[in-house]
Amino acid sequence: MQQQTQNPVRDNSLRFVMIRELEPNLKNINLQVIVLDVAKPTQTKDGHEVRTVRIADKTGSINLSVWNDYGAVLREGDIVRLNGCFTHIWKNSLQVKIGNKGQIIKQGDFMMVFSEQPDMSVLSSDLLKEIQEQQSKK
Amino acid sequence: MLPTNKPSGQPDHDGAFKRRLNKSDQPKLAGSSSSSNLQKFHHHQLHLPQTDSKLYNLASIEPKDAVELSLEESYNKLQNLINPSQQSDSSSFNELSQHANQSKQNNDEVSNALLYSILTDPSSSSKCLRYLFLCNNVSLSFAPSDAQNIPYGTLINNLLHIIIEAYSKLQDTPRQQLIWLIKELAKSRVNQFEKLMLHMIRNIQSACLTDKNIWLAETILDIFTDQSTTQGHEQNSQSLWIYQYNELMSQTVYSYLRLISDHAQSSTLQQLRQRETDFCVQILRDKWNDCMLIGRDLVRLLQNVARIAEFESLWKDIVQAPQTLSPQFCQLGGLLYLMKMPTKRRCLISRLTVDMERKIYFIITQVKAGQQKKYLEWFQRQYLSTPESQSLRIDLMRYICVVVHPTNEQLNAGLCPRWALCSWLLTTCTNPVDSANLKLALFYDWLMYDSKKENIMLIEPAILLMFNLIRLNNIPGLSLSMLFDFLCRLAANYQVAYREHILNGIMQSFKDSVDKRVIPSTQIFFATSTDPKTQLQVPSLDRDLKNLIQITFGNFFQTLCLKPTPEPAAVGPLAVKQEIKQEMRQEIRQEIRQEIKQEVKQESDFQVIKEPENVMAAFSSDDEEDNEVKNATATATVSSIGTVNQIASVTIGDSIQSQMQLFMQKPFKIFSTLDDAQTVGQCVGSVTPQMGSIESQLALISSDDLRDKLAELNSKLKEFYQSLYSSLSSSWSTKSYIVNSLFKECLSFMYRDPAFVDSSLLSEVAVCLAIMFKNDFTNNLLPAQFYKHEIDLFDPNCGPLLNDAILQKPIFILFKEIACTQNLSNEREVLLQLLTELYTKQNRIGYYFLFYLNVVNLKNQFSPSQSVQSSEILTLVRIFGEFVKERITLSKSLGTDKDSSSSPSATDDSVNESDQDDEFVESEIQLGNCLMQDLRLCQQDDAYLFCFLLGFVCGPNLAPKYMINNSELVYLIVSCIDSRQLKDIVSSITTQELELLRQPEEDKSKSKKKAQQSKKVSTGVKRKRKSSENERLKQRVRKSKKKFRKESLVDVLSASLNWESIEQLFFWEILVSHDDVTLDYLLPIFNRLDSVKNSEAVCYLFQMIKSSEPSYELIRYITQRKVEDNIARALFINWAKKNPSSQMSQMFIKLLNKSANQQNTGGKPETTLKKIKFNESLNSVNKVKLTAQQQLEQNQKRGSSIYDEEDLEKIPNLDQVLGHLNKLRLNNSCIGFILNENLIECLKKIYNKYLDDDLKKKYSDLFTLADEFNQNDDQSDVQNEDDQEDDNSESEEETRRGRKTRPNKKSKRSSRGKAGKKTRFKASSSGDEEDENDNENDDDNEQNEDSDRSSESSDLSRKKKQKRGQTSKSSNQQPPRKKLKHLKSSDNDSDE
Repeated sequence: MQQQTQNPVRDNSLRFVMIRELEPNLKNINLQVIVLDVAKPTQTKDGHEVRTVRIADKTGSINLSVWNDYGAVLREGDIVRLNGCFTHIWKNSLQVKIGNKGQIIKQGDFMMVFSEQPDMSVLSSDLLKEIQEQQSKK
Repeated sequence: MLPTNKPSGQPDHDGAFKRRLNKSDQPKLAGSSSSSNLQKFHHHQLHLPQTDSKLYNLASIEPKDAVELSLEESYNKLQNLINPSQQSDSSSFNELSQHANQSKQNNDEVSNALLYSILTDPSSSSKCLRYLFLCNNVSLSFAPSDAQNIPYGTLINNLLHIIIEAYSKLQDTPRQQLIWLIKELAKSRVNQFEKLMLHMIRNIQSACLTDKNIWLAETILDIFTDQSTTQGHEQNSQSLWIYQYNELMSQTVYSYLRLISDHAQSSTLQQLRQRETDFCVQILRDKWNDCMLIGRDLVRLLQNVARIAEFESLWKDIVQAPQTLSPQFCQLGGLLYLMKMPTKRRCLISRLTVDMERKIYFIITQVKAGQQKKYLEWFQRQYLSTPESQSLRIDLMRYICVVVHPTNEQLNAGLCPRWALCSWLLTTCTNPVDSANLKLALFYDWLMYDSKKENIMLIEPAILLMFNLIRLNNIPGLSLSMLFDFLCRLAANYQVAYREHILNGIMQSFKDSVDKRVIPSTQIFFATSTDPKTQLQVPSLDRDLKNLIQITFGNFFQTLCLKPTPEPAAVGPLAVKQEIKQEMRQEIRQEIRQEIKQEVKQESDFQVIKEPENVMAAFSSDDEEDNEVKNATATATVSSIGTVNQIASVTIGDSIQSQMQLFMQKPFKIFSTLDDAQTVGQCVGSVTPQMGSIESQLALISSDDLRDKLAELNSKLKEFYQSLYSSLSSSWSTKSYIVNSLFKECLSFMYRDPAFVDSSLLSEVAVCLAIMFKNDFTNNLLPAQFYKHEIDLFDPNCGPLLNDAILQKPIFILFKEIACTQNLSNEREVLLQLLTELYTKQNRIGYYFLFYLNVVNLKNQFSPSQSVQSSEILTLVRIFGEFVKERITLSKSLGTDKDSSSSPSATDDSVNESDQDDEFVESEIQLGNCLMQDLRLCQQDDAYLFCFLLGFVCGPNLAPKYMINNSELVYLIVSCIDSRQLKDIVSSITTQELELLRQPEEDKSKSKKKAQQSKKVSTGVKRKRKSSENERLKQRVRKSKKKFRKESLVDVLSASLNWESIEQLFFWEILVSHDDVTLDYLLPIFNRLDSVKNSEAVCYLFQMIKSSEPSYELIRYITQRKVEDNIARALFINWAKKNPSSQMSQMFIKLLNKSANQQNTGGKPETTLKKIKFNESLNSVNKVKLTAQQQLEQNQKRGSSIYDEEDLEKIPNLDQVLGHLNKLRLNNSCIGFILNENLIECLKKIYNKYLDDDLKKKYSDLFTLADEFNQNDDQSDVQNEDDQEDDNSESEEETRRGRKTRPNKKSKRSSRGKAGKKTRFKASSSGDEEDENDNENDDDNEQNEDSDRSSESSDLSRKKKQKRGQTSKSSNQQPPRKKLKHLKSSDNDSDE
C-alpha cells in the first residue's frame, strides 16, 4: 500500500488490488472482479444513468458505481478487469469508481471464486467517525 | 508490418486503448446533433469502446481474443495478396505461396489470413480454400530451426479454438462460413478434420429449439450424410464416412439420439427428425458392436425415442433378436449386457456445450459449499430458463453423476457437493415427464450397480441426496419420499424382464453406500426426524410408502440396518427385528390384499386343469406340453417404454405365472438363521443359489458319495428353480420330478449310511440343504388362487392346486420320505434329526411341515378308502410329535431353549388333563409350544397360510386342548386377519370345524381337584428332568405359572381388552360365533368393563344382553353400572320399549325393596370404587400395544380377573337404583313403567324410610315426579271417599299392602320351614357371605310374592287411588317420626 501511495501510477498498473485491501481515497487502482449484481439505474439531475454494481473477488465485495453505458453492458457473472479506479465515500459507504482514464475489460464470465463477505462498502464506525471529523475540520 | 510476438495480455491493452481513442472521437462526431447532453460529461464518465470484430458479437467491454487478433493481423498484412485489386489471381497466389514457403511462421500467417478471409468474406471463400489446400499440400522445406510443419495444423488449431471457445459468439456470416469450411475439409478428408466434427457436435445444444441450433443440427447432419464425402472414399455406397471414426461415430449417434427426442416434440421439425432417425438407425444397425460401447445411457436414450417406429423395431430386435444386430452382442447377454455397461464419459460430455461443462465443473471443483447459489442462478438464467430447456437438466444430471468425480482432497475441501447440484436440478425442474426422467438420470447407475466393478461415485450423489434430505428435513419441491417412491417404481417397472437385476442393483447400491461409509446406515431413512414447525418427531417416510418399499425390497432394509450384529445369540436386536418385521408385515399385507383385489378383477377367466390326484405324481406329458404352450403365449414381451405389461390372461393351470407375480410383489423373506444380508443379496442377485457358498459348504461334507449326490442335486435344483421362476418357464414339472427323485435318493442314502449318526455330518448336510433349498422359502406356499379367490377346501379341484404347491417346493420330499421310511433301525430317526438340524437353520420348516400335514389331511378327506388314508395322517402326526421332541431336546442341548421364556402361553395344560398321565401332558405342552412357535412365524410370514393351517392345527389331530382358550393364538389370529379371513374363520367355527374358545362346563367344586392335579404334574416334571441350572430356572418359571389357572375364556377376554380396537372387534366376532359360549358366562365381565375404555367389548356384550329378555337378575346386575354410563340407560330403555311396563316396574320395585333391605340390614359396601380402580389399571397401558404374551403375563401378575361371579349376586345400593331411575324418568318410553303406581308407592316408601338427606336432595326431582303423578291422579279421580284416619298416604298404603301380603309371605316362610331359620342363625354368627345366601332365599320368595301380587294388583290399585286422593294435602310433608318407627318395628315383626 505504501508503495502505491509513493508511486501510484506505475505500480498500480502492474498489480491488482484485492477488494479486502480497499480503503477510502485510493487512486488509480486495478481490480479483477466478478459482477454479482447490477442494480436498476437511477437518474442524476443532469440525466445520467447511474448504476450501483456489486462486485466481488475472493477476498470480499464492494459496490461499484458506473455511469451510463458501461453499466448497461455489465452483466451478472461477468468477470471484469477494472483499470484506473479510485475509491471514495458516498453516503457513508465505500465505493469504487472508474477514473476518467479507467476502463472496464471483460475477461470472461462465471468461473471466478468470490466471497461476498466482508462487505467493504460498509465502513466501520471508528473509520466513519474519523472521516466525519476530518470533514468537519475542513 | 511484421507480426511481433506479444504476450497474450498485451494486445488487449493496445486494442482497448486504440478503441477507446477511436471511440472518444466518435461521440464528438455524432455530437453535432445532440451535443447538449454530451458536453455535460462528468470527468469520470467513460466512453464505451466500440468493437470492430468481424468474427464475434462482442460486448463493448469485451476485447478480441488472441486468435482473432492474430488472424486479423495476418489478414491485414496479406490482404493485398489474397484479394488483389490490380494483380491477377495467379500472380498473387504465387506471391502468397512464396511467402508461405519462407518459414513456418510465414506459412502460418498465410493460413491465418486465408482462414480469416474465408470466415469473413463469403465471396472469395472458395478461392481462399483452394489457396489453403495448395499452401498446405506443398511439401515444405523450412530451416531446421523452424518447428515441424504439420499440414493444416495451424488451420485446425485455429478452427478448434473458434469451435471450442467462441462458437457461441460467432456472427452469422463467420458461423455459416465456418460450417461451410468444415464441410469442405470433411469432403477432402483433411488431416484431423474429425476433431473439428467431434467438437462441433457439442455446439449443438440439447433441449434448445432456437433457429440457430436447429440450423446447426441440420447442417452438421448434412456433413455426416453428404454422399460426396462418403463416395469419394468408400466402395460401398451404403456406408457412411463416419464409420471410419469410431469415437466420432459413437458420440454422434449418442448426440443425435438425444437431439431426436427434442426434435420429435416440434411438428415443424419432423423432416429433420426423420433424417436424424434414418441416420442414427443406419449407424446403430450397421455398427451395433461399436455403438453398444456407448453403454447404458444408450438404452435410456433409445427408450426416450422408442415411440418412433424405426426405433421401436430396433428396440424389438435388441430385446428379442439380439443376434440380428450382432452375434457378439447376443453372446454377451444382449440388453442386460448393455445395461450393465457403464456409459462412456465422452458421450455424456458431448451433450453439454463447452461452456456448460466448464461452468458445472467449476462449481463442483472450485466453489465452496453454500456459496453456489449465485452461480446456479446465473447458470439457470443462461441455460435453463426456456420451457424446452427442462430436459437439458437430464444431460446435466448424467454429467454430474458420471463424469465429475471429485478427488478425496476435493471432497474434504468443503466444496459444493454434487448432491446439492442434483437437488438444484430436481427442484427447478417443473415438467413432470422431464422430472421423472431427471430422477431416472440420477438413479440410472443404480439399476445395474455392481460394487465390485463400478465406482461408488456413480451412486454417491443420489444416496447423499437422500441422506441430506433427511438431514435438511426435505427441501421445498423435493422430499425423501419422492425419491424412495421413484426408486420403488423404478425397480418394479423399469425393465420388467430384468427386475431382479435392477432390484439387486439398487440394493447393492444401498449396501455399498453403507459399506463404504458414504452414509452411516439406511436405518435413518426409516427413522423419525424432527419437524421444524411442530418440533415433533415425524417419520421421514409415510406409511404407504413404507409399504411400497417393503413390497419392492422386502426386508432388505431391515436386514441391512441390523447387519452389524453378527451374533445370532444377541436376542435384543433380533427381538427388535421381529417387532419391526411384524409391523411391516401387517402393512404389506394390506397392500398385497389391495393388489390382489385388483388382480382378481383382471383375471376373470378362471380355468382349472385337472391333474393326477396323487400328491407326488409327476405331471402327465400332456399337461406339461399344455403348460409350455401357454407359457410361451403368455410370456410377457418386454415393454418398450418401460411400463409393466399386464399379462392378459392367466389360466389357473399354469399357476407359475401368477405365482411369479406374487413372487415379484413379495420377493423374499427374512432368513433369521442364515446370514440375512448375504442371503437376501444372493436371492435377488440371481434366482439360483450362489454356487460359491454351497460349494464351500459341500466341501465340508466328509462322505464323498453323499457330496457328489448333493452336488448333483444342487445343480438340478438350480435348473429347476430357473425354470420355475423364469417367465419363459418350460417343463418345470419334469425338472421337479428329477429333483424329487434325486433328493429322495440322497435322503435314502443318508439314512442307510451308518456314519450318519454322527451329528456333525448331519448339521453340515443340513446347512447344505438349507442353502440349496432356500428358494423354497422365498415365495408363498399357498397357490396364488388362495390369495385371490374364495377357496372351498372341500372342492376336489383344490387338491391338485395344493399338490402343485408342494410339487413346486422340493423340500417337501423330505417330509414324505420321513413318512415313508420304516423305522427298522433308526432310519427315520436319522431323517428326523436331519429335519431338526434343518429347522435350526431354517425355522420355517416347522410350519412347512404343518402345511404338508394339512394338505395330506385334506387329500384324505376326498379319498374313498378312509381307513387306509387316516392311518397315513396319524403316522404323520406321530412323526410331527417326534420332530417336536427332537426340536426340544436339540434346543435344550444348545442351551437356547426359548420355548419356556418366549412363550408364556406354556402354562400348563394339565389342568384339563384330569385323566391323562403326566408323561402325555408334558408331551402335549411341548407339542403346543412348538406349534405356537411355528404359527407365530407363519403368521408373520403369510397370514393366508396361517389361516389355512388354523383348522388343522386346532383340530383333533394335534393338541386341541392346548389351542383352546389360547390367548396368544387368538391374538395371532385377530392381529393378522382381514374381514375376508374373519368370515372364513367365523363360518368354520359355526360349523364346528374349528373351535378356539370354550367356556368351562364344570362346576366350581372341581377346581380344587384340578389344582391338586396340576401340582402332581409339576412334580412329575421335576422328576423327569435333570436339574441343570437352566432347568431349575425353567422350573421356577413353571412353578410360578402354576399359581395361575390354565387360561380360561375369561383370561383370553381380559387379554383381549388390551388389543387394538379392530382386533378386539374381530375377537368378539369370533367369540360370539361360538354357539356354546353363553351370555350367562360372559355377563360377570360386563360390569368390570369401562364403557369408554373397553367400548368394543361393552358393545358386543351390550348386544347380547339387549337381545335377551329382561329379568330381575339382569336388571339388578345392570343397575350396578355407573349411573353416568349410557349403556345401562340404553338397555333399560330398550327393554322398556319391548316389554310391558308393568313387568319392568315390578322388577324395579323388587330391586328397590331389596336394596332398601340391604341398606337397612347394613349391607355390603359399594363395589364401584374397586371396579373403577381396576379398570384404570387395566387400561393405563392400553395405548401401548403389547404382545399377547406380555398381556398374559401382566394379567397374571395382576392376579385379579375381570371375571367376578360375585358381582352377579350383589345387590346395588339405593343410590345406584335411584340414580338410574332418575335418569330414566326423562325418557318417554321409560316414564310409563316409572309412573306405575306400585313403583311410585315403593319410591315413596323408600323416600320416607331409608333415605338420608343427601340422597333425598339428590333425587328430589324423581320424588317430585312421583308426587306430581299423585296429584294428577288426584285431579282425575274426583271420587275420594274413604274412612281412613288423617294419616300419611304412603305409610298407610304400606301398612295396607303389608297386611295384605303378609299372610302370603308368612305361609311361604313357614313352608320353607326350619332350614331358613338355621341359615339365619349362621348369618348372625359368621357374616356377609351367608347373609347373601339369605338374600338369595329372599329373592326366591319375593318372586313368588310378585306373582301373587300381580294377580291382586287390579284390585289394589283401585283402592289405593281412592286413598291417595284423600291424603293429598299432606303428601308433601314428611311423615311423622313416630309413624316411621312404628313401621320399622312392624316390618321387623313381619319378618319374624
